[in-house]
Amino acid sequence: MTHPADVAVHVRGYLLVFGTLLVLTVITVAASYLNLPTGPTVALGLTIAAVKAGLVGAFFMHLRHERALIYAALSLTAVLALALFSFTLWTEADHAPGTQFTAPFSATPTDTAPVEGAH
Amino acid sequence: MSDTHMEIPYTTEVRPDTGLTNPKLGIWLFLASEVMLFGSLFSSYALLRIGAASWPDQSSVLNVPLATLNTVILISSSVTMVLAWAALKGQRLDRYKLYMGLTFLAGVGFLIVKTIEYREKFDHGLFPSTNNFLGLYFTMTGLHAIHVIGGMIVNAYFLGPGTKMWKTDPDRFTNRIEVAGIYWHFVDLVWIFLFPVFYLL
Repeated sequence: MTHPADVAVHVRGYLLVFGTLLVLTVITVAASYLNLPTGPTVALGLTIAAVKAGLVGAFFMHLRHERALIYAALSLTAVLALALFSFTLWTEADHAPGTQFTAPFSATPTDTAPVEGAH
Repeated sequence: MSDTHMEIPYTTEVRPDTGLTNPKLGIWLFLASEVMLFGSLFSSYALLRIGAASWPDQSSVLNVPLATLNTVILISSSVTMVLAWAALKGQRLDRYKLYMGLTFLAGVGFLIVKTIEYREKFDHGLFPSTNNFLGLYFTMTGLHAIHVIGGMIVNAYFLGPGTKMWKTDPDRFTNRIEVAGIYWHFVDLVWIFLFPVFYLL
């Protein structure tokens, strides 16, 4: 059984994490109004989301103090999820010549073959 | 049969070979499969958006203030959930009920806001069939909402009839709340990614 005093310390930690999550939410929303170019916007949004997810995982889901088997299972999950994303996105980088979309139904081909029949 | 009922093993004591209780290992393996489920949808989103000839300005189609409100609601519910567990660790059933009740209410609030958002879209003739973006939006936020409902059913049980276990086996009940909490935090975690991906980027 955990000593009540330990729980009190935890509670303070949870509230601190809560405050941080709220601040990060405000920053995410505020940053989206800066109208940065798409690249930095996506990078910033996903970085803040990853930090928030890390905080939730580490503190609320108790991953800070967890057994090796959980870490092992989650590491394998991370590898598989990365593979899932990689293989999916590689298909986008692997267009047959001339089948790449340009502007909406643009008549200008990006490659050697004509655009007709693209996708 | 009544005197030969079987104990479910390792609900509170740690299993020597895994170093974990069975429910703890079980919930994490389940969540690992959930990562792949949502991962497949997020990677589909990335593929369809990168490959699209044009993409709507997301933040002008969707309601950012309502989604921000829902983000705050869900983050708050994660805190009340973990405080409910901490209350049981501190032997305070009354506080547990308070925090668990708040967690459930936050779930209700989230779904109400989501319903308002969906209705707003339907009223403007925006449906999953309208375009790829809305198809992904309704699929992914809809699947997430189903997860919220699932978590609320579990939480409602632990707030109501499930509380009886506190009298007979408090340690096991506390573990159940921790495991239910880990699931609930995962639902929060998915939303933490859905929010920027659909509303802000």
